[in-house]
Amino acid sequence: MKITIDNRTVEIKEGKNVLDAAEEQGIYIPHLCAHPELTPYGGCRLCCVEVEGMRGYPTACTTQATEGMIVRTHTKTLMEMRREVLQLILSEHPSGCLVCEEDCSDFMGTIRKVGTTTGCRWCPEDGDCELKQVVEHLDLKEIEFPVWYRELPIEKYDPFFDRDYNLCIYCGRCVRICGQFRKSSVLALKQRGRQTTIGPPFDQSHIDADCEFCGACVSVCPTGAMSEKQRKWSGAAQTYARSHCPLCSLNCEIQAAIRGNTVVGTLPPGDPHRAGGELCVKGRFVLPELVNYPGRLTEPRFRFPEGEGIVSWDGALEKLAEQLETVKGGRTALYISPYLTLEEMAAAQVFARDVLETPHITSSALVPGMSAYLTMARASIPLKSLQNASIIVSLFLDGNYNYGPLTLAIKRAADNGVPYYQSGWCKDTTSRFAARRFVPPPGKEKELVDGMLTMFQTGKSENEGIEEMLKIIQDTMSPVFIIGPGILDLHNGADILKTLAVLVEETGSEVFMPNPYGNLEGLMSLVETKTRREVDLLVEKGKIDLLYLVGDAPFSQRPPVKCIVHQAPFPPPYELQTEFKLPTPMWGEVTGTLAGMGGRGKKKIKPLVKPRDTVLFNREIFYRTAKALKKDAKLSKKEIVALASAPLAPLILDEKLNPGSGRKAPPTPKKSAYLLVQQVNPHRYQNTSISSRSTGMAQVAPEDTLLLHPRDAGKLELENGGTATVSAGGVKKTYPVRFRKNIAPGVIHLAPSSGEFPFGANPIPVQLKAEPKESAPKN
Amino acid sequence: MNKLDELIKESKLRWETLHNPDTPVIYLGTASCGLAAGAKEVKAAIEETLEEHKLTARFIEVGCIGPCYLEPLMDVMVPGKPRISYGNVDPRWARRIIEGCLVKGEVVKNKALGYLGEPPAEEIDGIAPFFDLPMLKNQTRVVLKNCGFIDPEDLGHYLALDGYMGFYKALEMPPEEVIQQVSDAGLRGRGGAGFPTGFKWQVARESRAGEKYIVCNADEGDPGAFMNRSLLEGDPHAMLEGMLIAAYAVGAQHGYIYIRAEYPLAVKRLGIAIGQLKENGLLGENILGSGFSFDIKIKEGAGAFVCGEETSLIHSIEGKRGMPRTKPPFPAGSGLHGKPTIINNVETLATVPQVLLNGPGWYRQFGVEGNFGTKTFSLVGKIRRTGLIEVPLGISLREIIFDIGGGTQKPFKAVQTGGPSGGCIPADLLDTPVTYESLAAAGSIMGSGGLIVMDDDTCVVDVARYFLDFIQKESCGKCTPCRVGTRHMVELLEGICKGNGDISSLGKLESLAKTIKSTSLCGLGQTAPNPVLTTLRYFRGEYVEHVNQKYCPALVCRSLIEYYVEPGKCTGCQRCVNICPTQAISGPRSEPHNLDPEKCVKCRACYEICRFDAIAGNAIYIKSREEA
Repeated sequence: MKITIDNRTVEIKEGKNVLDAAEEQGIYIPHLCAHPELTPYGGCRLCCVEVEGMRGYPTACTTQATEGMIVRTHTKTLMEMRREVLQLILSEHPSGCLVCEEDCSDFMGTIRKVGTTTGCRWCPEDGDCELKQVVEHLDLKEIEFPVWYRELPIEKYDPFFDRDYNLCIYCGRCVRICGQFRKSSVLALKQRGRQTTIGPPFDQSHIDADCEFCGACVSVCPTGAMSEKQRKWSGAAQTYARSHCPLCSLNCEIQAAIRGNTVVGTLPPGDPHRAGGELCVKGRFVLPELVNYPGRLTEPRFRFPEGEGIVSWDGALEKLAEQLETVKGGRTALYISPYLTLEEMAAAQVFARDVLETPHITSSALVPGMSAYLTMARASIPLKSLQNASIIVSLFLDGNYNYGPLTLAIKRAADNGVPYYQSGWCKDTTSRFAARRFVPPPGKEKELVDGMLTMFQTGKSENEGIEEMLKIIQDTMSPVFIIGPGILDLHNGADILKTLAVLVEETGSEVFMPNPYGNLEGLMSLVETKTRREVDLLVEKGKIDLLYLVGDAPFSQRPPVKCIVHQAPFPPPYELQTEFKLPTPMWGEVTGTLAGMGGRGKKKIKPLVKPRDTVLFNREIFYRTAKALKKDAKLSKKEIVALASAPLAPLILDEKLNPGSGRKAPPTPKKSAYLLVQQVNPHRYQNTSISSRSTGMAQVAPEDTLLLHPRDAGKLELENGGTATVSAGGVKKTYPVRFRKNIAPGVIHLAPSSGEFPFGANPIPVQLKAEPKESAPKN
Repeated sequence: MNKLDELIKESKLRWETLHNPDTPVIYLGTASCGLAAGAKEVKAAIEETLEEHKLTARFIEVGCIGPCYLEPLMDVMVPGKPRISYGNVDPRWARRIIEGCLVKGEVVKNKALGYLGEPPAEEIDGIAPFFDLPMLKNQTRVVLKNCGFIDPEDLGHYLALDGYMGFYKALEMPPEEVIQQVSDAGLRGRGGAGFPTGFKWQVARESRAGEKYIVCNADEGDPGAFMNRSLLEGDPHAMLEGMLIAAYAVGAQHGYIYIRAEYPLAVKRLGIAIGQLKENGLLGENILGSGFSFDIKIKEGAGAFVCGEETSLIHSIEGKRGMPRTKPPFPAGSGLHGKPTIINNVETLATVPQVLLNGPGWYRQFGVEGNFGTKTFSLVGKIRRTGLIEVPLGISLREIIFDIGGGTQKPFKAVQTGGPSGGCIPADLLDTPVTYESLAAAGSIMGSGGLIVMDDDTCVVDVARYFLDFIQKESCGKCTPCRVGTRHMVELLEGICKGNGDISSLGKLESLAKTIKSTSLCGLGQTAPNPVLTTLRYFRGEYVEHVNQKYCPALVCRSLIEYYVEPGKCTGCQRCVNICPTQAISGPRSEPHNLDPEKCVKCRACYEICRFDAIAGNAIYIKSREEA
């Protein structure tokens, strides 16, 4: 197709709008509301052009290019018009930094770098400003109109990003990326005329409005109206580097914004200034918070009889060697974090085998059934295949603040007409798209899944909804089951998983099974591990003298051992007393490999910044300790890299030794009981809980806190932020309470920080009682 | 069709009996306009009187017949006498009229306006036909023919007056011929833009899409316009019949009536009417055995002016925020849920049955070449006879304002047509014929039919400010020029009204107006500057007086005027003292009062009461600041 732009006749592909066609030819037409990931909007009116045969001045973004079209993009009239429209925009936007020619940088006395009197208070001014580009292109030097400051309050009470709508130009990108692209529809335009503002409807907070905090709105904002809390005053990024997120099994590609030796932010891949992306809150906002966490372990510490003190690395490793010499091999246990790189894991494996000479290797993640879960997960299809599914069934998946690309893929598929069925008690961002939700009664989860299988095998119907679902599964070509790791939080999760495996097999379905660990896949195929329960029992029974924790610390109180070596980037949780605290670098500071989802496609992560001089890489600690002990361990860098780069083996874990889950079946519920769903907190990194290290995550996904629907709270006269007592089977515990609209009424969620479920069975019917305001949590 | 034929037969019989009754029949106009004028109290008085005198009479509530200045209107028909209409009836008069007509058997001449229907066998002294009233004489009633005449909640009344006969006829033709007839009649969209209705239908007809929609746009939002409301309240079936015909013609299966929630009575009556249609097989599956199926839903809008714009309206029905999008694609090709959608105004649809019933030739007898047919207007403002009128197109503004409306009290200044998107037309253009093209040439638009008449007491700057402020508040906020530009225009106009403007303000207004007109996204923004542009074009002198002399010739702009009491004329009656909200006027009884300009908020209350109260002496004056 030929069109003529500014007297140049060019060949373009069909189906393009004039703005894209011009851009392809290197002709820049100023625009603010148009965005490559969004449908044309035509709101800012800056891209108006002249098209022969068309009335008036159509906007390039909303005008389809047609054969023989003659377009002019930079006539005098158009430039005048754009300047006038831009002035109108700037009459509502503080513009000291845009049109003022005075240089005031010498007089900026505050870290804000921008004037308070000009109303730019909350603008990060980090060069990430498309408005500035447009002003420069149109060479605007002054604004003829009076300037209004809207005096809207600055919104800073939601986590992760602040909003100063005084800087907003109403391009609507955030609203559209939230609705069209992320399928969340949290943001909306509110009011009309000059009172128009943006935010969740009915002035709800973002948390209440089910915001996923994916940050797409912040990314696409062409001004400083939306800004990341933790990045805002860090200044403009100097470089961007590719990496992968280590916070769950999806290992999403990200790019880090780097300034100096600091990771100031993490962004989705693509144009760092405007790509909306598919990340979840953790990949988008939490990683830099973790790397830059001020309370990280910074130097080696040793506990002398008289108390803990900082020691040199040489001193620390000498003492460690001494200690290790006194312990017999079989009386040592090693816990390895599922978030480490393959290289770190390989080194730990070699260290355990050749230096500690112990077979007791495990990880906090190796809960009962995990092996079966991961084995099944190996068959996971690539995420993009979800769009071609004929039906999607999710079971025990909690997508809240988790698995962003997965929930997004589900929502997109469902929006395109793929039938979506959700099962389990979790209500998440996908629930709105579900054709049906099956919520099993407590303890009847197995019956639900068994029922599905029986109905499929016999054709006998017991439940209309399930029958409908099974019929689609039977009649269509590519059904997909998405099974969440929440299933392992059940007392009989491993059994249910077996049934599910049969169901998947018989229905010829595909699966997708994520887990919240960045490299568990790698751990289980590289390291010969035992189940956690098995090693835990040895520790409990006093058969272990020395605990060696590599980035892992699944203990809420000191176990009965003689010595604990704690080697991790963060201090141990619960102020656990350890003999050794050996600081290591973490993601962003190390180079290495992650196994990737399903063990296919290893992901390289590069060091983005240099770690502190006072921390030591895991491998180096092992290597130097081995040297000190004069053991012949193959721990050189080359040998470890070779080990880690070998193709991934099948999963290594002998589940025969699995001594049962240790969890009981729940009792039959009484009437008026609430269903308490306990959950191993999926928001972790190495030895730390993200909920405790990120202020934002502490707000959206707090630990040791009862999350319940406001409707239930009303009945109990509970207040958001109040406390309540949960009682079941003789156990009574008091917790703080937060309201969430993204969970189902009647269900209470609890993520115990210890990872231990205080109420045994799970889920469990409980009684709930509001505590008077004064009383503080007792536990 | 048998069931309906029977119903029609029965309806005609009922209608006959109603007009040759054996008991008296009382009609009361209880459309919103009547209710606002006090029809509810009148109704209570009627019921009370009937009860008191143990009288039996049929009581029928009808819609609005047009002359607002005569509301509440009440008709009484006693056996053997014609249906006589009484105007400006209050509860006291209602009692007297009932007693006079039903007890004494006479005509209460003081309030009688004329008779409706057939002339009486013997002439009644002083009672002329109702439609000979000066306001009604020059009107042509096509769309409003049933309004105020029939019971809008009784399908039988509508059927008895050839209701649904147009639809009957349409069903006997192929859809293409229906469209041809509408095209031949030269019917143009009555929502304001005047797009040929037949052509629009043709586009949707030709689309191969399986699903199509008909939407009736009843989101009447112009200040001072109430044509659609009156029509829907007085004769909902007329519009519904038009919708059925339109649906049949374009092959639509679903219909929506997008109506403002602020029209509760119209919503209620539409609901009743739709129920009646469903009951009688005129709506639903396989209508009248023709194989044509159609259903109608009412969608209440939350009252955003911009939702009168087609694409915003579509978004609103879809449950989205009412914001426009760029056209093309036009709704006739891709509208509601991406399907071909015909959006017609209430009046357009209500006209269609008449075209089908009487043929395009009959319809073309009204109006002028290119602008055939009639148009309803709501005549409001500083005019003697306000109300809802219907006139043939091509009639001059002068005829409307002076012959039908009875002219103005003070010298006529301008008439605003087309609401906030329209413009002000001055006295020397009064002979402009009312056609789409000539109004556009005068800088205004036909619009949906609001005519706001202004006299010398109206300040054009203030009027322009008012309309711009309205637009600015109703802007959806999507596009920059409309959201921000109109606000700048309002600020400039407010400045001028406050005496802060200078001559450069006028230039700024004009340049802003140009930008807004050429860069706005939808019709709302593109036409928003019209009130300013037309007033600047025809009344530039008044603007200049405002900015240069700080003088408001109409004595409206508060910052430019002062109130004072003429001591020689003041009777000291204290009426103004009592009414003043800020105690700015003081003085003992029977002595000239004092007005403290410091306290005065220029609310005009004292001025009005001094002019019109019998014992006051018309002693309060408004002067410009210069004079003061």
